[in-house]
Amino acid sequence: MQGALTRYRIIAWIVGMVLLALTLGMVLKYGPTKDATLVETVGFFHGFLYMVYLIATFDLSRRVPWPFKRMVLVMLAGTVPFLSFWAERHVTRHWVPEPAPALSE
Amino acid sequence: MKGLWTPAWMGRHLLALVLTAGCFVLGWWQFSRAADGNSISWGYMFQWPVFGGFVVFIWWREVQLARRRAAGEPVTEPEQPAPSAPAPPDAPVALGRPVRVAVRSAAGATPDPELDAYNDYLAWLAANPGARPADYARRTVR
Repeated sequence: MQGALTRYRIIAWIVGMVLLALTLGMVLKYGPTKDATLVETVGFFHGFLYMVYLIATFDLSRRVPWPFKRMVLVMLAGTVPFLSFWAERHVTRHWVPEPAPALSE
Repeated sequence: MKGLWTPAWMGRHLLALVLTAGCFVLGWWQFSRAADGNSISWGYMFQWPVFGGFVVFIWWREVQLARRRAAGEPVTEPEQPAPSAPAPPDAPVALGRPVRVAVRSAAGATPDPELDAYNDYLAWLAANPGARPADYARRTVR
């Protein structure tokens, strides 16, 4: 489960950062500069990364396991700029049990 | 089956339907944009149906889980039972998981003077804690 959590956290961070870049690109595109380069560069990758995020979230949710609503909530949280980082922290701290202490010799 | 037509499940079916339809509509919208000459939309056009398919997958899995719960079956797949009979000796060798097998005790199989001598030495060491190995050699000579 800890492996699934690590995978989720990594992809959540990546998707969060790319989402911020995409938001900035949207601001540039529809804002003052009308420059769509950033959106065109980042947008396509964000689609694929979000797919990976969905798969990682699904994997984590069935391992813990979470109720269905919580899984959908976490999946949707990955689409909101800035909120995705908070959601990742909340998931790590409250929604995944602590790892069992390692057996000592 | 009644369990899948409760108000809660009707809501889930509706949500799945709306999300899937939404994904395909957005994919179609991207297709029309791509056809209008927006080249980046060609990529989005293929991504949206994948998201729609994911919604269908989740929906299907939840339905299966609910049906298994209603039927009283275990939710997770049962462990593969170990093969009951050992393969016949002339069966083709197949790769498989390593299996724990009973090991026949080697004691009393064939007499091994070297092993007996070593065991005797160990027994002597245990009986004489302060002794040096050289004392054992002297003992055998005597």
